[in-house]
This record gives sequence, C-alpha cells and structure tokens, in this order.
Amino acid sequence: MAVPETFFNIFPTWIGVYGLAITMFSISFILFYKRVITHISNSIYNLDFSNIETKFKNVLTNGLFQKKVLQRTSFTKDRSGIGHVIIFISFLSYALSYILFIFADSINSNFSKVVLGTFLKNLYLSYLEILAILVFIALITALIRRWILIPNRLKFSLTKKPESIIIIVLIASLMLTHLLTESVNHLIKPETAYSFNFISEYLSKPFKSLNYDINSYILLHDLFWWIHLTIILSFAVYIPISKHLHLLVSPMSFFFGNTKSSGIIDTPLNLEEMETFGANNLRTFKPKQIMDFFACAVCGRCSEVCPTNLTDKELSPMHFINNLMQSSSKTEEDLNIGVIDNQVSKTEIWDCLNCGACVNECPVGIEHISPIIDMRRHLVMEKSEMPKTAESTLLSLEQGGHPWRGTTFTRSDWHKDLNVKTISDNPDAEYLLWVGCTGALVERNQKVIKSLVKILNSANVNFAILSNEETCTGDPAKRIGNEYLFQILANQNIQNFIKYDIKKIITHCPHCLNTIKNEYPALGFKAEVINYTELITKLIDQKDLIPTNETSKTVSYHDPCFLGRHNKIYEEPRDIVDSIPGMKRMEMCKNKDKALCCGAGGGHMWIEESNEKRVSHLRTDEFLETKSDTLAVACPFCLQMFEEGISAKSQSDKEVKDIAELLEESIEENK
Amino acid sequence: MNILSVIINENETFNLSSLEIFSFIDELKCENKITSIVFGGEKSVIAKIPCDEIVYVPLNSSVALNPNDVLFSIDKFMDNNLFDLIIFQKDDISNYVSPALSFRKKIPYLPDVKKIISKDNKSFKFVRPVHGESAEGIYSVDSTSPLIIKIRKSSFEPKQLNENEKPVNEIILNKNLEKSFKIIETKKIKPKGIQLDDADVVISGGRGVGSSEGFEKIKELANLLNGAVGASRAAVESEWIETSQLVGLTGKWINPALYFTFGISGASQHLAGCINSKNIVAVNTDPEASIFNYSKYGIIADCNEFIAEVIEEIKNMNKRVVQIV
Amino acid sequence: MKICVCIKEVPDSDVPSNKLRIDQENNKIIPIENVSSIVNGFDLNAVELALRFSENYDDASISIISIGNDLTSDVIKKPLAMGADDIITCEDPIIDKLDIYGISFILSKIIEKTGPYDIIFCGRHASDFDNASTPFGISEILSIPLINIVKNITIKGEKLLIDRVITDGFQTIEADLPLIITTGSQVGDPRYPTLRGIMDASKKEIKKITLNELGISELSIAPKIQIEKLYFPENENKVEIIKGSNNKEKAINLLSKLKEEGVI
Repeated sequence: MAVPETFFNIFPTWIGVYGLAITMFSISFILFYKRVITHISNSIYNLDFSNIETKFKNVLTNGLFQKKVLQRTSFTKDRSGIGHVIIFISFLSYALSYILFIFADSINSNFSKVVLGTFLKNLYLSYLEILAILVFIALITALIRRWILIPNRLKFSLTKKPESIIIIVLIASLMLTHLLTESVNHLIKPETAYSFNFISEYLSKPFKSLNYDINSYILLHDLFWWIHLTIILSFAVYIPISKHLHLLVSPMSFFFGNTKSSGIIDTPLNLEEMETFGANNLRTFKPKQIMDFFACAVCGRCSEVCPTNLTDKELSPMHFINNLMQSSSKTEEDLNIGVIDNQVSKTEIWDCLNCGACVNECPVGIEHISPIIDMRRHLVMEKSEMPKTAESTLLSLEQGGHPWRGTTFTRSDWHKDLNVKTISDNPDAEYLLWVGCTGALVERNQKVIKSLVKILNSANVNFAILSNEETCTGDPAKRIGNEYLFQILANQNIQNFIKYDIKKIITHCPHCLNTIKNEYPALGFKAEVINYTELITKLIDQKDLIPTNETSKTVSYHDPCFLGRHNKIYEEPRDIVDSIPGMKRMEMCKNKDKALCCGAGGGHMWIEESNEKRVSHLRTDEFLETKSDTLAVACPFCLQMFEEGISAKSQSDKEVKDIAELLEESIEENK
Repeated sequence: MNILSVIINENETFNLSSLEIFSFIDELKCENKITSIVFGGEKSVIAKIPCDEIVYVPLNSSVALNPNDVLFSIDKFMDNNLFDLIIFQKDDISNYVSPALSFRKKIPYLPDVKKIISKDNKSFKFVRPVHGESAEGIYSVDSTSPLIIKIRKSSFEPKQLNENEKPVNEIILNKNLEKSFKIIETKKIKPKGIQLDDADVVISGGRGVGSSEGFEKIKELANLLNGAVGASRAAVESEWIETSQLVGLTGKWINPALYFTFGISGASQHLAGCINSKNIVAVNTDPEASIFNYSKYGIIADCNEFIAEVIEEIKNMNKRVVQIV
Repeated sequence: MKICVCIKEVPDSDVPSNKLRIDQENNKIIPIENVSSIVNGFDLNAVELALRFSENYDDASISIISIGNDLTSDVIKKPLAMGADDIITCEDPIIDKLDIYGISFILSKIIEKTGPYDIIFCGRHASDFDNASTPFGISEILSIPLINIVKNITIKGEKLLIDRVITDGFQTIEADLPLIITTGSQVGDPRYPTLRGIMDASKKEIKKITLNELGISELSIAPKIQIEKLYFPENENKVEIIKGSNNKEKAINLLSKLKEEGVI
C-alpha cells in the first residue's frame, strides 16, 4: 500500500488523513455516545464489574473467536456463520492495516516497512487481497441469501431493511477500492522483491492497457486511495446509526453477560429500598439490558427458534429487542410513559416461556429473558397486573406454599405407605431428596417420585425428605415476576436447610434444580445440588443399580429446557435410557440445546397461551415423527404437557414416561 | 308452645317447599298452637295450610317486596301476639328478616337447623351445619324463652296441605316508612333452557372440565337427557359457564332425580347445594375425591374423555329405540 | 367520607374437607397441617367494594375493624395492603366463645367509638360458621339501614344506587347514607395487593382496643346460644365404582344401570 504524498498537491497527506479521521471519528463517537452511552449511564443501576477474568474470557471466546456465530455451522445446512467469520476476520485484518499503512505511514512512509519488514508487509498485503476476494464471495452470498433465497429467519420486514444492503455495498466498495488502489499501484512503483500480490497484479492489466502516463496513474491511484479512506471513515460514522452498531456493542454485551447459568435471573437484595420494581423504560432497565437492545444485528436466529414465534404468537424475540431499542429515540416525556403498551405489548411480555432458546442462539450476546422478567416485575409488583391464572397461582403460593390451587393432597400423602424417612427422623442422611410441589401434589407426578424413591432405595442411597416442611422453591413466583414472594419462599426453605444442616440435595424437577442450585446462592445458600439423573448414572456405573428387565420399547428423549439448555445436562438421562436392556433410543429432530420447549416454562404451567396454537402440540408432533412408542421426559411439567398433547392427538398407543419410571420398570423385581 | 311460622311467596304462586316447616314442627313433638303468617300467594291454597291459624298478607305483585316492610309487619304483629318459637325458611326475604327480627326483638336466633336432637324443660338441642357444610354442630338454646329458627332447605319433608280450607285472617302489609330503602327496579334473569330448580336431571361441571369448550359437552349431555346444566364455583369463577348455574352453598340448592357430576371434587360448599339429590353419579380422575363419599355411582376417568363416551352411548341407545319403534 | 369494613380471620376455606380436624376444646374446625389462616373471602370482597366506592371521593378513608382471639397480624393486614388506611382490633380470649349477639355488640361499640362512619361494609357471612347474622346485629344496634348481598354501588347526586343480588336476578335500590352493606362474591375478585401496599402495610401500627376501654363487661355479652359439640357427620354412603376396561365400557355399564333403576 502506497500512501500518496499529498492530497492532490494541496496539502500533505497526513493533514488530510488526520483531519478527516479526527472529524469523522468525533462525529461517530458523538453519535455513539448520544445513541447508546447516555442511556446506559442514565440507568438507575450500576455496571457490574465482578468476575473480570471470566468476563474477558467471554469476550474472547464469543467476540474474537466467534464461538456463537459458528455454533450452528454445517456445510450442508447453514453456512452463514462461515460468511460472517470471513467478514469479521477481514474487518480485523483491514483495521490493523489501516493503523499501519494509513495512519502510521502517512506520517512516515517507511514506518510499516521498518516495523514489519518487506517480506511480512508484502505477505500481509497479499493476504489482504485474498481476503478481499473471499469477502466479495461472502457478500454476494449474503445478498442472495437475504434478498433472494430468504431462509426462515430472514423472512421478516425487519430483516429486509435497506440497512443490510447499504452495509453490503459499503464493505464491497471498501474491498473494491482497496484492490483498485493496489492494482494501479503496480503501475507506479517498480517491481520489488517478495512481491506476490497476484490478484492486484492481474487487475492492473486493464489499467495498463489504458496506456496513461505515469502522472495520470498516480492521480488515479491517489483518487482510489482517498475514496477508500473516505469510505472507511463514512463507515465509521454509519456504524453507530445502523445495526452495524453490534460491532461496538456486542463485545460490551459479552463482557457484561451472564457468566454462570443462562437459567439465572437476578435476585435484588434491597427490595425494601428500591425506587421502583422491575423496568418500564430506559432509566429502569439495567445497563447490560440496554446494551442488549443496541447489540442486535437483526440476524433472526432467535426468532427462528422461539417456540412462541413458531406458534405465531405476538412475541418474536428479534422484534421485541428492536422495539425496545426504538424506545431510545423517544422524548423524555414518552420515556416516562413507559415501553409497556407502547413499544412492547403485555401479550408479548406474558408469552415468553423462559426457555432460553433465543439466548442460546444469539451470536451477539443478547439475553432476551432478562428484560422480560423485569417488565413482568413492573407489572406484578408495581401495578398488580397479571393474567388471572397467574394471580391465583401467586395466591396459592402465598397461602398454601405451593402453586397447585385446588389440590386435595398434602405433601405427606404420597409417601404414606412408602419406605421413606423424613429428615427429622433421619438427620444423618447423606442426601436430601427435594420432592418439589408437582411431584408431591399432582397425582400423575406422584407416580414418578414414587418410582424414584424405589430406585434410590434399591441402591441403598441414604436419603431423607422434608415432607410437609417443604415449601415451593419460589420459581413460579420469580418467573411470574413477584420477586418479593420468591424471596420469602426461598428464605423459608433456606432456614430449613440450615436447621437440618443440608449439604447435598438431589432434585427431580429441573426447575427446582435450577432455582436451588443457581438462584439460592444469591440469598446466601450453597450446597451441592444435583439432578437425579446425575446420581443415577453414577449408581449404574458403580453397579449399585442394575437394570435387568428387558423391554422392546423404542424411546425418544425430550431435553427439558431447565435441565438441558439452562444447566447443560444432556448425556446423563440418555445414558440411563441406554443402560436399559433392549430399549432403543431415537433422537428427535431438535435435541439437546436445540430442543423445543414443552410450553410450560416461564410460569406458563399456569398461564394460558395467547392463541390457539399450542407449543406442546408442536413438540408432540416432533415426537410423533420419530415413530417411537415412548416419549421419555425428565421434568414434571414436560410430563403433563406431553400427556395432554398425546391425548389431544388421540395417540393412545403412545405413552409418556419419566426416566425414573422407565428405569424402575427395568429394576422392578431386582431386590 | 305458641309457634309462628313465616311463609313468603314473592311470586304469585304458593311455594310448596315452605310446608317443610310443618314437618319440622311435628318433629318437635310438643303441644303447640301454630299460627302461619303468609305473605303473598293464592288465598285458596293458603287456606289449606296444616296449622291452627292462618294470617294472610296480600301482596301487590307489580311492586317488589321490600324486606323492611315484611320485618316491620311481623314486628307489629308480634306486638299483639306472643310467640315462643318463630320459624322461617330459606329465601331472599327470610334470609334478611330472620336475623334482623332477632336483634330487633332481642330474641336468640339459630339459622340452618337441620335436625332436632332433643327438647326438655330447659333447652333445645339442634344440629346445624358449619364450615361450608363440611361439619356439624350441636347447639343448645334456652327453651324457656322465645327463639327464632330458620330451617335448612330440604332437611325436612314438605307436609301435605289439608283437604279442607280454613278461614283466613287478612291483614295489610305494614310499610316501614322510616328506616328503609327504596327498591327502584327488579330484574329477573331467566337463563335459557331448563331451569335448575325444576329439572329432574342435572349435569354439572367443575374444575376438571377445564374450559368453556368442555362445557359445551356438558350442555350437550344435558340436552340429550332433558336436563339442566349446573356448575361448581371453580367453573363459574373461570367463566366457563354463567353464574346463574352455580350449585352450592351460596348458589342453587337442588334435589333432582339424577345429579351427574364431571370433574367436581366434592367440596362441602358445593355438596351443600346438591346433597339431597336422589342419585349422584360422579366422574373424577382422583379416586380419593370427596364426591365419591356422597355418590351412588363413581367413575374414575378423565371427565372430558368420559363425557364423550356417555354422549355417544346415549345417541346409540336412542338410535336403537328409534329402530325398534 | 368515612368508611369502615368489618373483617374476620378464619381458617383457610380452600382446604378440602378431608384435611380438616376438630379442636374440641375451642370448638373450632382447623386444617390438619399448618395452613395459614385467611381473611374471610366475602370480607375481602367487602374491602374491594369499599375501595371502589372510596375512589368516588377525594377525602375518603377506610378503617378496618376486626375482633377475635390471638389475631395474626400478617393476615388481617391484607386489606391495608389492598389500600385501606388503618386497622383497629379488639382481642380477647372470651371472643372465641361468643355468639352473634356478643360479636355484634362489640363490633357496634368499636364502630361507635371510632366513628361515626358514613358507610359500613361487611362480608355476607363468614366461612367458618356461616351465620350471616352479625351485620344485621350491627344494623339493629346502631339503627343504620342495611342492604345485603350488594354487587355494586353508583353515586347518583345525593343518593346512592345500589345493585343487590337476589335469586335469579338483581335489584336496583336507592338509598341514603349512613348504610351498612354486605357483599358476596358478585362484587368481583378482590384486587391483588401491590408490593408497595404490602410493604407499607407491614409498617403500619394496629390500633388495639380492649373490652375494658369499650366499657363492655363479660356478663353483658354472655352467650345465649352455646355450641356443645362439633363433629364430622357419619357418612353411610357406599359408592359403587363402575368398572370397565375402557371409558366406553364404563359408560355403557353406567347407563345400563341407570336405565334399570329408572333414573333415565
């Protein structure tokens, strides 16, 4: 890259470069500041800088190494991640080249040669040219993909805005002007050693055939060069006003993002002193949430996997985030009115199943669930507005300590005739088996807990239960948005854990697992909390449990959102199924972290869906496609949802069973 | 004992269930002189009431009956006549008048009496339900001083009217002009279809039905059997069926020949309204549901699935009948 | 506009009957396991109607009155969390043993002492003993007209228009203040308390009055009606569970039985 000596003989290059750069970067910075930084700093909450090491690692893994961008890449099905990586690498590579070849070299034209050495410099230039070609290919595929082929996730009007084309054109013209500059450069400077810029050399041929004199070529070169610089700097200004903002904001989102489980919702400990509960405008959203609103690259991956979007409900995560971003351009007055019922509807807020599929897919680090819960908190704790069934669930939690209003069971009924000891009778038990409200109080789910108890007994596990001293973990309250009620219930349980000096807890229900393991530490409780499948696989490995009874059933396992995606437990349930002699297991089309929610998360076990299409039926259809006899589940909500789904589709020869039930059948006569 | 029985007929027809009062009096097994004060109704029927003296207060059926006027009338009537026992039964006016009268005259009051345990020189012992009819209490009251009782509906058999008519003493309704309120409008809502009160067959749905679509099946079965639709509080509060169809403590009290429940657990507040049905058939998934303790036949099944089978089977039965005919 | 609502703390009425037990000593029915008590459901409807009514006036205040023995502060403060202003209680062991006369008398005295109120709201009956009489007692003792089972109140100039529930319908009644209103569930669901309401309520002091301060002697409220015994009635019913290998068979079996017996 050769830097012109002057700007067409008017003034030295460095004045032009730095003058233009400073102007454009300042404009860009001011735009960025006004659009994004002011809102982040206006939030009534502070940034959280704890766990800095993990935060940096997150930026490296997902930002620099593009982990999430590439996580779904498959040469046959989805190549868009590769395209983005190419453009990303070229962005970084060219940025470096600008520092060296434009900003440094415009002051002292030998700078880059001295720093890199001629060989490395030419190699780098060659590399840049190859990148340019690759970028062209990537851009053309992107264009065809977004505007002609239009895959599912790009079918929206939001994804077809002119913005995308402008960005493609800008990048393409950057590559083009670079190549043009380099091509003409060949005709100015003599051949040097280590020159292997084949592409630009090839492209110089048409220019050579014009047979200009050298000064004309110099003019042409300088023209291309200055145009290239102008486009770079215009791009810098375009970034903060377009979705290309994700360049700047996404690393921030990754930095301040969740470092532990995606199933965690924050637990504010100062409810009494809070100025306002939850969030309804940019002042009351948290800095990380505000970053998320601006980080969106409008790629559509979240909406493509969102169960509510797949059932045509109002909520579509991508639109949701973009609408919240739009609220930033409102006046102070409008800001005070709030986003709910303006940029975001109550239906959307209540639609969310908290399944985390969106968060899992998002390549720029947006955590969509977090603002939804904060808006629910605003509705529930500030305004007392919520769906009727959610209200009666909260009432049931307040009065009875469980969400199952109308149950005629008490927590001790299911184990009346079983060999189970309470913790007060067996204070030295190694494990506390946390039964959960559903397992204790809903008839179909009681069968599962009974199976689990039989299994634990047959392996001589020393466990005890709290029985009537158990009260709901508080998860439904937290997810519906009543953080106050959650903390009351959680603290009650924690008091009991302390009273009985509980160190190890086995849970059946994944929601209980997530809450006790991931949320309770914020309230000061730490213990080893495991899911029953984790213990059982160990027992099978140790031969304390030996499944003997053969079966000819074919089984498909459905990954519960709160066991799989949020807590990354995928293999253990599968291992248990595989250990049962004769049982054949078939994976469903969307499995592990891609599994489709059963429809009961986010409080939806007790909230009606906002339209006729049921998420559970969609997933049931996916199960039926496998043609397996049995749908294996590991969550009491999934069990209920799928039994209803199967019966609604009149598939009476199919059954839904918990992993514990399947295993118990296999060790039945084995005592 | 001097007994006053209060009978209210807001519509023009005489309410035959008010004759339950007289069976109650019979069960007291004591010497008594029974006076009936009857508001409204056909004079010819009233003349056959099985009691000693009949006092009739004609009503203007185009004007809503104000409970304060009834209270005032009875108050004044009692000024000139002394009674040991005043008996009411359950209806809108009596529910208002009986406790008010008790406080006005400073006479003890016991509502919802369903059984007489004993009577001696000192006290009466009565049984009345408590806690939403899930339990019962034995109450003892001084029998040497006056007492007001409201009997529980359907706990006593209605006595027969006399063959012959007796002379009836007419008095006018004493209007309370001071401490009262003005009734401006009365709106009776007659729900469509067969009324719960008259139906021989009632099909009732509860929480287990789950939706208003589920209630369409309940209505279909009711139609097939020429019956009425009933509901538990859970169904009414979920807005799957109108409030007018509520059967229970604060709803309708019925006693059909067949009370067929779907997805009702049998909370005592609901049973209060239907316990006197001749045959209760219950469908519920929970074998421990309370309703099975009070029903003749029970089916452990999902109520929505089972009702579909029942409807189909009845249609088949009807087809066979048509074929035979 | 001075409003008061009388409430009663009762055992949770949602507990199914097979989970109740009798406390013979105190003549009470309580849940088997420790289930928290509640404010009587119809009394919460009364609070809801009072709150709605108070929204018509700028200067309205709502006082809650409750009497009993050993009242649970968190429970009876619920109406405050919903929006009522203050709460006055009278607690004494003797109150557990009183009949409707004693209860009405004490409530009336409290109303006199802390009043005068323009309008008094009560639930139509309490879910523990279902007497449905106490409000009438207050009406007679204080000589204030009573309208029962009210669904809604609208203001028409100087008068009130009141929607009253009757069997199979409604009545519209015109009345003046002062009034006593009793409510059933037709009022609509009691509003869910806001978190601020709950937090503010927990900080409020309960104003406690003793029987002495009310000038009530034990003798003056000695019960005229005594509960001798509470029990669960014997149930001799024997249910026949219809058998069948599937629902269709069960349906057929059931219908044939009903037909045989002439029920259908």
